[in-house]
Amino acid sequence: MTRATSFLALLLVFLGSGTAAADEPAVDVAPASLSFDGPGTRTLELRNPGGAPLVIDRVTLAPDASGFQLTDTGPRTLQSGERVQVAVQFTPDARRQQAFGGLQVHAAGQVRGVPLRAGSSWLLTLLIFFPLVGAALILFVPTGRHALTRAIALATSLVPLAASVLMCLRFDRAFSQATGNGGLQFIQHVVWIPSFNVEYFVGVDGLSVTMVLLTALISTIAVLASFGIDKQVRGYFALLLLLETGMLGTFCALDFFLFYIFWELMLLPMYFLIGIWGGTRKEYAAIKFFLYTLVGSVLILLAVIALYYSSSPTTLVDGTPARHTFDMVKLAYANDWEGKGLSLLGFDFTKVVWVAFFIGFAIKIPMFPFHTWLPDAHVEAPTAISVILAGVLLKMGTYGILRVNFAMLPLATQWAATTMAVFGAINILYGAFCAFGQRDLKKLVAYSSVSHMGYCLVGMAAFTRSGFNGAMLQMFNHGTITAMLFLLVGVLYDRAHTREIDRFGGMATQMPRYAALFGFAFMASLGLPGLSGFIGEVLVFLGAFPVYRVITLVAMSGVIVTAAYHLWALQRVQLGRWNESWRDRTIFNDLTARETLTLAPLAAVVLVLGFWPLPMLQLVDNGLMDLLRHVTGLHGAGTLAGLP
Amino acid sequence: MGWLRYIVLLPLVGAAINGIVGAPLERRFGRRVITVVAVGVMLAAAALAIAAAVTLAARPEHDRQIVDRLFTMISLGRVHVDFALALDPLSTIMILVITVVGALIHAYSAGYMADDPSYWRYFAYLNLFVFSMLLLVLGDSFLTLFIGWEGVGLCSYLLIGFWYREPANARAGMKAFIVNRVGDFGFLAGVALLFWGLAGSWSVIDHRYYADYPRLVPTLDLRLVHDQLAVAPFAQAFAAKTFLGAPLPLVVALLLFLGAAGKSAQLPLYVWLPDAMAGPTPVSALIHAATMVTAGVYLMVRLHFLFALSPAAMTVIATVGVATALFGAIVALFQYDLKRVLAYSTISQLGFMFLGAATGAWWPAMFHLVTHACFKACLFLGAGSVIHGTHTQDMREMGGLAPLMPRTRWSYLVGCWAIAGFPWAAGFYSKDEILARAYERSPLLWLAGAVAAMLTSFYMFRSYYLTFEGRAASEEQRHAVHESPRSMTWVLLALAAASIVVGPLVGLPELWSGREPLLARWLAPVTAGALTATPERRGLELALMFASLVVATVGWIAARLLYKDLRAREGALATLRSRLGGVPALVLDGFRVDALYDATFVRAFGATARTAAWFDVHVVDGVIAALGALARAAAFITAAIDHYLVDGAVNGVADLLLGAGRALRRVQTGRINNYVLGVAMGVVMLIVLTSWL
Amino acid sequence: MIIGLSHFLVVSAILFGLGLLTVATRRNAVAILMGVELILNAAALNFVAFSHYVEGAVTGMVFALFIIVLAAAEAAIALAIVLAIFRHFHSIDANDVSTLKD
Repeated sequence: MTRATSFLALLLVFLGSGTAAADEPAVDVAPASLSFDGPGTRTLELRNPGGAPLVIDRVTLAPDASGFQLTDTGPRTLQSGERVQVAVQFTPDARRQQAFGGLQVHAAGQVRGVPLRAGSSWLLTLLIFFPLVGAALILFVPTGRHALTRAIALATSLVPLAASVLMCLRFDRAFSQATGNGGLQFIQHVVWIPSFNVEYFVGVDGLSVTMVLLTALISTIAVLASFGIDKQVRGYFALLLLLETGMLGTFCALDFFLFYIFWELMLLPMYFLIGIWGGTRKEYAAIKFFLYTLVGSVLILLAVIALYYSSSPTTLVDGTPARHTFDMVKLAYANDWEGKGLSLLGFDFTKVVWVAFFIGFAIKIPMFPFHTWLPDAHVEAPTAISVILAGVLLKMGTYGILRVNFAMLPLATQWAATTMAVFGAINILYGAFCAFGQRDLKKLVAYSSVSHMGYCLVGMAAFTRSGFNGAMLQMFNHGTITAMLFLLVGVLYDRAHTREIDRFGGMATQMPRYAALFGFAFMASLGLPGLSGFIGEVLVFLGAFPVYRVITLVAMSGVIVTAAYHLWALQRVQLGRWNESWRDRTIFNDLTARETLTLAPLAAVVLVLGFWPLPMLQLVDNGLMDLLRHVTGLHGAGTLAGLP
Repeated sequence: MGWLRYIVLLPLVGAAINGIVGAPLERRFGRRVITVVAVGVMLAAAALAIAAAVTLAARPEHDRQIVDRLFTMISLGRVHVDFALALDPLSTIMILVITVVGALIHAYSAGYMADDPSYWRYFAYLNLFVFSMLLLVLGDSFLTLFIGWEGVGLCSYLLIGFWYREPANARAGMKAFIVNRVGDFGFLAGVALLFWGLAGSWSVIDHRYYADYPRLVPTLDLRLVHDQLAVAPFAQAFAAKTFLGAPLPLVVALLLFLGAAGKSAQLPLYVWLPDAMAGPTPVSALIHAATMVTAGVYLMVRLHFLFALSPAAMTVIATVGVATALFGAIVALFQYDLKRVLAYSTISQLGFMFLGAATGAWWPAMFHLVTHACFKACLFLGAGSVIHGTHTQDMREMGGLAPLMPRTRWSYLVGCWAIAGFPWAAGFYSKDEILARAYERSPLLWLAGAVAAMLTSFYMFRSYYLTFEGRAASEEQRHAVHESPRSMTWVLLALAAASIVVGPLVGLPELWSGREPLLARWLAPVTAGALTATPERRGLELALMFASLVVATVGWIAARLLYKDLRAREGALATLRSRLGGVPALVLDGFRVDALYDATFVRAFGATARTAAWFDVHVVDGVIAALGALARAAAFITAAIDHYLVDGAVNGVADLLLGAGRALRRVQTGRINNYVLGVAMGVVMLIVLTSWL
Repeated sequence: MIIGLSHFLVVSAILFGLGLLTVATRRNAVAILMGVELILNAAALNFVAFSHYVEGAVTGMVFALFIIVLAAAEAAIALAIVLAIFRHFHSIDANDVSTLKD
């Protein structure tokens, strides 16, 4: 972490060196910003604070401040202390209620920016930072009051869950880039560190909305599943909630700087949660996880800096001109990277940056051959942390690839698409075969994640509507299914203190309810139609087949291997005769109420989405279509109709 | 038609009740409640199915289609998949078989499983199976069909491994699932190829077909695929596509057949079905004889328009079908396990159905499916009754049961009669129809089919004589054995009656009645256009019919001669066996195909998995570990450099200064007088210097 | 004989020399202090002398006054230090207090 922070410090120094300190303002503005709740007109007062007369050349709207109108922008001279009023009018569209932009006052050779906001939403900020508040609160709990700590943690994690459900319900499914705001909703967008052009910019679109929901859901489940922890309870839950903030922030952040901070923020609690509350080889696993992810983070950081310094001049959200930008939307849509003809280290700039980002994110996915941290981290991590790790953290990789690689560097993405698909197919088959060869049940589940994330890669690489939607759906569904699997493994481990598959057998006799849910989760994981795991896979296949026929066919054969290792493990654990090496059967009591409570909601989600994936698809489709148009460069509806 | 959904949902409700609250219900109210729920939903579903069939029949021929849309599953641009159920004449036949035979078997199960500790679990699975099967046949799109398709596979897995405490049973379930999964791979790949092929073909359509344009979307909808392929240029464009050098229709048809072969236990994927007999016998009757295993045949008839596009694929399927028919019949010859005889018989009969479907005999294939459902269910349940009475499956330990179990015996005999293809029983009409069609295609196919039919007659009567005739294996057994309760035997009799009645009822040959068979007329709207016209060859048809009769009789007489009284024929059989050498053992083992698969696929699979796991730990992670070691080595070197060079230089400077300081400290006496003297001397020196220089 | 500037300077040099000799040779802290006073007075004498012989300059006088004040203050502090040294070491021999060098 120290290294990471020092990188951050270095970054700050770098950035700081490039920007000059702000001068004394030539013109006073009151109020400092204008906020609108709906349609209406607000006035702004400009005053000359100096002694000499001040010439105001013009007052304009920043180029990207749509939705606002400005009256009277002619040049004028203000005597000392004289005031003048400027009226700004906001008219929302039927769909687009939010607007963010800046008013520019050009005077005395300077441009003074004034932020204009309409319908700024606090929902995401609340959602992101509420766990942090809970974490702080937990630190004030007196020692030994474990029940109180747990109650606070649960209550705190329920708030983002409720907020994200509300968000999904209020999410406008027909909203797209054509509607405005870059296709984003629930935006909050203010300048944060003006001297480095860093903004606080959060919002969700089709790419992130389901991920936020998944994160909030899995975090709540993880808190519930952590009630059994009795070692340093306060520290554990505080870190867990900190982790939740990091995860939610990563999915919501749209400023690269902010994104990176949240990205690194996840790393620290994860390291401690594995390293302190883990199993026998926890230090090894924690450090391996940490170093691996850090390598990825460093690559991402370097790529971010490279992009930043090559970005075109633009304005910040308050209208102030900026030479470079961290705004991820602008980096994606207001910069023609390929057109700039840059080069880096003697190679095409976009390709180098693409590869750096891709490796950084691929480590998180994890993609072969960068996956070996995963089994170790999973085996050593406590159950709830495995749940979060597999349920949410892995999705950061695929999400990052969509949000960054695809959106920012479309041509480089096209250049690398086939490679991605090949790696996806390798992931599917290789992960499945590795899972088959495991003796540790948790390792088996861990490798199954490697296998399942391969479907996402194949679907994404196809550049088709079904492929994209399938990949997105697979991300969500894998999150819920694998969370169930890890919870189930945890249940067994709590009782037996071993995860060796061959030590079990005939568990169904002793723990029927457990066996039923175990079977359900395994069936979902192997892609049984009617459960959610299948829909993602089949959409990926349908989407990828028109593009990569042989690769997809190879990937499809993974369904056989997947079935084989799941069923074999299921049989060895649950079916057959009771393993007589267990003298005391009574340690294997059936699921407790709390354990059932952690599993049942996930099972319900898996079942409902298996038959009715439509709501999920509607949430993501528009965002993905925007991305698809951008990444393929096909903007006409007629051409797109050909893409299934 | 909003009530179509209830046919499907009723069994699901039954499964949900018994599956979720079955255990407390049983504890509170006893098993009767479980039975009432499970059988009740089945009876209701059967009643609804009959009502649906009547409703459909009342409609004009071109309008025999009822669609019930429940909700939209997927909507992505022009791709739109509804969760919809569609009833047409073909699915009507299927739902009638499923619900009626299903209800009978449910009723039978109540007696058969009465003493099983997991009573509620059994009925939950069984109801779930019926739900999935109904979804399979009513599903309007590939997606819903596939949900049912895999759902029945799941239930089959659960029910084969129902007595899961026995590892062999659990293994058999797993084997069934995985082998079926190979077929599913084919199915999925076929659907994906079809999707791709159709989705891409519409671009060739010019404006003249604009009227068809709205329908020409990428689709998973079964009826829409049918309609699309009816647009000639579209079908041509589809047929002109290739995949890996092969024509697309051929590849699609073969891949879909791979799926069908997995589910319907055809060569080379039949291996799971004999092992599936590990499940309770009513399950074998319902799932592994009457309904699930015929799903492949249903799929082929459902997609007849697609298969018809590729004559090459049809030839392949016909060959596989007849080969399976022969293979199953041969292996059944030497089995001693009563249920395994029936299992191989089922494989063989399914081969007949595929032979029929692949020769364009769509309705005879369905006809055989229906009759087979009746007589094979009857036979299986009869076998179940025998097993229930004798507590053994080995026919060598039976014999002489005829007077002890009269009702079972008669129904079993009727079943044998029907399957062997003697006149007036169901199998006679359906099998003959298929063989007649096969003859038109190629006499070779007919010959192979006829031999299989002869063997069928032989092994079925062999099983009958071994079980019911002759002398009892032991005296104690004669006293221990008893007829099954009436709750079970009335089902046997009902199915036996059906085995006789159904044939003439729905498929009386045109030759006899002078008009097209009922089933053919019923299915005509579905298979219209793909139906190969029957040539008017009365003489040939009569000859073939006679040949079938001869073949069946030969098989029967041979079985009677050899097995009528086993004890008396011991010697003759022994010499026969010695002449044959190792052949019977080989055949008994199913030509050791299982061993072959074990030695090749399963081993290769395990080896690959172990290699992958090893590779992961030692190579992939090894590289990472090596990188780590490298980093540590580099760190060690830099640490050494740091220590000896960098630190050395710094320390050297420090040492120098320290030494100098130590030398100079002597000057610092601490005595003011010396200092002042020094100052004075310095001043003098300065003065001297400034004056002289 | 006209008393000129050089006379003052000679007296001042003698005073300075005596002061320096006292500081350099005596070990008694008070004696060293007295030597320092002599040196200061020699310097003050120089200032006054130069000031007298340069037209219109008073700066030297001011300096002399400053030196007198400074000397008084210095003497007070120095005597206090000597007193403290005596209390601590029971001696006012400057050589005995050279513990700082070790």
